[in-house]
Amino acid sequence: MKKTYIIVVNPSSELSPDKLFNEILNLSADVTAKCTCFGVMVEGEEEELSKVLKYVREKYPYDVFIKLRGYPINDRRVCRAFRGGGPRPGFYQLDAEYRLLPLIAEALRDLKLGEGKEAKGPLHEAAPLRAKELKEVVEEVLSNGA
Amino acid sequence: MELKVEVKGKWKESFESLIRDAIMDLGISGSIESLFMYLDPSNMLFIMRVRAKPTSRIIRLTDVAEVSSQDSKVIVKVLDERYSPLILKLLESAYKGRVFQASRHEIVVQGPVDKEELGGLAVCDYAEVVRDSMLELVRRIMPEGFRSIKVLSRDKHELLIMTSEDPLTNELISRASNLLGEA
Repeated sequence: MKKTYIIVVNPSSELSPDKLFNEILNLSADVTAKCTCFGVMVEGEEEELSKVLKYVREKYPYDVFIKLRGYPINDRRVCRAFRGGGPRPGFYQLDAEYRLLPLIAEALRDLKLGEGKEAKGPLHEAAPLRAKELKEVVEEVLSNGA
Repeated sequence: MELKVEVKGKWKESFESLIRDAIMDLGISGSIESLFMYLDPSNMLFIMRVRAKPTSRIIRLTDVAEVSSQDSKVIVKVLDERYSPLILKLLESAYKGRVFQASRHEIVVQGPVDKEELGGLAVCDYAEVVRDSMLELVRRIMPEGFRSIKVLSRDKHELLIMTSEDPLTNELISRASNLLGEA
């Protein structure tokens, strides 16, 4: 059965969608590929796709993230050209996930490096800024002549 | 080089000129044996077959760079920038930790180095350069919107590729294969 996968390139990596696309085309896999701004879409029979997915996962363990796509490449049901423009269905979800990838990659690296060690805490804990602290920041910036 | 271009509608001459320019720009004009291109803009189909001459030649460092020694270091001046990433990788693996890039075209290897040995290092096989350039050539020539790509067949000396703006259905793939068979 034919399937379509989205291979999203971690925006903080040095790998570019174009480079990944060329590497996929250079593999001897019977797949259709499409280069996009966030990565590469690949489509084909499962056996052929597994060659591509195995290759990219092994070569770029922290730089690519893969998920199944519900529609074939260039499917008219989700193609903007046939839907009168605007973001295609699923864009906002992908966009939100895309922004998280640098943090996920960082966590995966830490997990690999720290195997057997105690887990580290989060990179930073988000907390609202107190009015007093905000005042200090403003005063500091203004005193620097900004 | 045998060049055959089929375009439904006009712009055949423009594509011929574009192909020649792209081949020249990639520096592989002497290595391409034949090229066939087919474009049907109304049915969103672009096909290309590139055949390279079966040549194999090892490119040594002195073929693409000037090697000179100065005091206790060797300076490698890259003459063909396309090979810069390969040269850097090669030197880094051969002289770990002693290599740094002084400028865009200059790489310095510190410490005692046999200049002759360094100059004789194999950078790559020219056949591999041509093989990579064939894909780059197709990507430079294919129409901008035709972003779905399928490599129909590929070996060391031949590349068959089809692209479209529409989904690459079995019907479209068999049509492309037939056209390539007839060409």
